[in-house]
Amino acid sequence: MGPIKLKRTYLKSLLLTASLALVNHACTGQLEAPSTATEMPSSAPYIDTGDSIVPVVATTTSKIASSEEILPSMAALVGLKLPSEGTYSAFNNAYRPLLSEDGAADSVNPPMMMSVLNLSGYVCNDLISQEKALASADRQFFIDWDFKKGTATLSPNVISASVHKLARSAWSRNETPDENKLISDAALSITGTKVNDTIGAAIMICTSVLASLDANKR
Amino acid sequence: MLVAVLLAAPAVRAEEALTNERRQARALFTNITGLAVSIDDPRIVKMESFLKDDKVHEAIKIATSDKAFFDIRINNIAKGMSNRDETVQVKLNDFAATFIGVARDGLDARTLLTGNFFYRTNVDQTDTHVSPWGPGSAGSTHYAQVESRHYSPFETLVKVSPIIVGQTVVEGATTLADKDAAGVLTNYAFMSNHANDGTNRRVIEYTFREFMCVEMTDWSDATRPDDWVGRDVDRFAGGDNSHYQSSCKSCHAQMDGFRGAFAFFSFQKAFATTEPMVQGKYARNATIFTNGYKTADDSFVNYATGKVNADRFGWRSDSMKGNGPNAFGNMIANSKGFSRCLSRRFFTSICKRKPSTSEEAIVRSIATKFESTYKLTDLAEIIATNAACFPAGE
Repeated sequence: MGPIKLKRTYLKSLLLTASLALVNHACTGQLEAPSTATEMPSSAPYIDTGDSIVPVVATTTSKIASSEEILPSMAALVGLKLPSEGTYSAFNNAYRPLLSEDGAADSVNPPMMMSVLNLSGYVCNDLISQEKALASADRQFFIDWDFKKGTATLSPNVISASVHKLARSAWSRNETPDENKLISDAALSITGTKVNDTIGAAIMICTSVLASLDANKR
Repeated sequence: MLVAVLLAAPAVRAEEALTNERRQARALFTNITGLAVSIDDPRIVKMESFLKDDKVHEAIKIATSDKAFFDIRINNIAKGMSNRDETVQVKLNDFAATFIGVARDGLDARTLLTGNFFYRTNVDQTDTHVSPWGPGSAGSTHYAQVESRHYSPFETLVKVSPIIVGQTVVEGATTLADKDAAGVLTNYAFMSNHANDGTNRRVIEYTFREFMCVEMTDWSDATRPDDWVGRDVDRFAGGDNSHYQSSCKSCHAQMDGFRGAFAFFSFQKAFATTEPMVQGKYARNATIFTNGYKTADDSFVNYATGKVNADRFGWRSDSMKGNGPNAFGNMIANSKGFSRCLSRRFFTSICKRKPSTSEEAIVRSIATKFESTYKLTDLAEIIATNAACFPAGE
């Protein structure tokens, strides 16, 4: 099944990714600085607000994954041995031109974020295909998921465990309880008796994690 | 708008505590290689162990010896230098392949501009014949197949010497003499981008742009002698000599002094011609100023020796003149400007930012250390251990 058919899932992933950007992510506690450059000076302890100098906490330079880094990184983060030819084709023909060449923070724009989301969908689809072929105990992320049945077989604990494994791998940290609940609830809202519904739920949590800022910031 | 990002405080489960060293290891690996991996990846766990024992160099070596460092980081740097648009979104080419090969095999980085070799993949793994220069191959099919078939350049590149040129697809049939070989400068990608049409001035401009990190306007100098400025440069545009004296000469005096090095080279269609005679492009528009310099052979002179440029480029050659691309490449590669430029490029790529003007001393220090081995993996390690790149505690 191609991810492009799961429009409802993608819309949910997009909303979820945006939500995750506001919860325990880089946007909170953000400090403004007057520079127009995307690079931080090696030491920038103060902000000049005119009348007074305000000491700020030292920050680090951040970028996002560049066009040449993002696909191998997404694949590595989810343990995908090799993206499918469909994924490579979509990446080269549709998404790569819209992705940032140097990963500069100010290169982020809506078409780029949509490309990141869509690309994550392709990678997640490949991951699910890879895991479906394995016995449950041999899978890395979707343990105890029955991809031959509808969503009724999915328990909150099974979904929550998958969210945790994906988040820890892709974000290099454990997710917060709020983050896990946000993503798990979204996946639980996908109900249906068809196999595609279960796959849809899996793609939902995978793309929500993989397309997020924490997975793609550098 | 500057986006300042605070690293989010992680929520830690007691049974899966993530140490600072683990996080640092992951950040180091990702920044050095360009590949993001799970924080539980065995490579990260190993790096964490070294960091806990304060063995920073050993930890970094895990990253600089990983194939991702060559297939992504080095590949990215090289691709951006390999074409006129300076975009990384191009197919693999012989410029980038040779860059990767030099880095992987620990060769002296100066051979990028002086060597008579190039890198290609193992012939058994691609359909197209190995010659990147043969007509019909357009120089890119062979390397494009490396990517379309998802081969790792790190795993599959082999070194071929000498460089193949000419109108034939038979391997080894027509090759460059050592005096005519200047590493990637005389490979397909660079020649096809900069020695096509024109007057070969772009070869000089982009050599300095890519390997000295200076744009033409940066190193212009109107005080230099203009006895090598070509006949196609108007000395009296609009009847006035002052524009030439103040503007045109500032670039041409130096650039035209160098361009004779490539007098025998021209890129036409899918192949380059090297003949022991000056290419016709050097006589283009020769009637504009008939008293200008007439290129008669492949000799060149280095006039980029004014006070500012002498310090900027840090020339080391005993002689400020020579013949042919190899002598030109030698002059560039042995300059301080070359090692400083590579240091800047690797710093920008690994540290995620360009060094500021106030960090010039840091760049020069890195370049000096790099010159002890001229190995690109060593350069990455020098930069990764520099506090300007990764401040303490990060």
